[in-house]
Amino acid sequence: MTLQSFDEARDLLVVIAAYNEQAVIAGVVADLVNRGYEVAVVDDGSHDETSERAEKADATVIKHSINLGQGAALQTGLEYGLRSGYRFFVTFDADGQHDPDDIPRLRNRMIEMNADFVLGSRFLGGTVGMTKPRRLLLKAAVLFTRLTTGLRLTDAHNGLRLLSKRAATAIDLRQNRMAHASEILDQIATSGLVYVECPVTIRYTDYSKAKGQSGLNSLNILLDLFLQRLRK
Amino acid sequence: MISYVLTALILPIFLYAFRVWRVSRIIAVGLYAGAVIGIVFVWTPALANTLASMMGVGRGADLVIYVYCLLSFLLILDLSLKIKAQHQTITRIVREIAISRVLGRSERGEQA
Repeated sequence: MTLQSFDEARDLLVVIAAYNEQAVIAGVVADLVNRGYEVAVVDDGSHDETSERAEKADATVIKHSINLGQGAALQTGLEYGLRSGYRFFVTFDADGQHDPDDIPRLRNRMIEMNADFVLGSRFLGGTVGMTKPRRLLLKAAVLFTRLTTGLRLTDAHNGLRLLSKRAATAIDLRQNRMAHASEILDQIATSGLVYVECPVTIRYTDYSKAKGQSGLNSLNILLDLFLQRLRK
Repeated sequence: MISYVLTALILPIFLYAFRVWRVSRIIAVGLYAGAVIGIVFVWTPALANTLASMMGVGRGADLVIYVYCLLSFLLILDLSLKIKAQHQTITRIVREIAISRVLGRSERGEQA
């Protein structure tokens, strides 16, 4: 599938998984809507006003009645988008770490390389406010991804991605929690579809650092991936 | 007499492993292996002693306990997989409800 009519609003859906993000969600959605993007916020069972504020900012809100995890929320967003007829999908973090101006860069990279997956890379692009332990953890994740999937990436856990319809159809996230970031790479590797990386900027704020994953959570991710491997 | 009782207690593990096969082949193979080793040890305790001394465990009874621990660990893993499978079902239900609500709302909006 080519990107002939990519700029038409109906073609591209920005999917945001959100859980208790009432403090920032309206601003994140507004930044995207003001640039002409259609936005679907998957409220993953929030107990605050995430849904209401996202809706007021002109996002389509899909609400999970219970909290399932970011992986489950992204899969819900992708399935909603596919059923609604969208052809391209951007996954975007709710905490304001991502820059909406990176989306056209992802798009250009997709056209240039005729790819189905464009994966944002903060190590090809830039970061603001990233701590050293976080950098080390992400580098370890890159190594882990290389060993387990064979994918040669510079950034293995970047939530900013662009997927074609074919890519979104090929993805079936079963890891509800944070292990989905590794699972998606695993599925990219087995799908045989073309993937490329694209430089993007990640901006760490006090808010995003507080909401982000702790280093210890990587043990949970490894356990989830281990259990997944045991199946079949 | 005790050998018959222990064998009767181990045999259901084979049936359980047969059922587990569909979920996880690794765990099923582990259960089969553990059950076979258990039966062999029950009927040839001398072999358990020989193997135990070869492995540096000491007594055959200790080796049996280690095999039991291994089987218990495999059963816990199997339970984890079952819980995960149930969670997947819950996820599909929650997802379907969430998407249907939004699509139903937009369809009603278009009709109005």
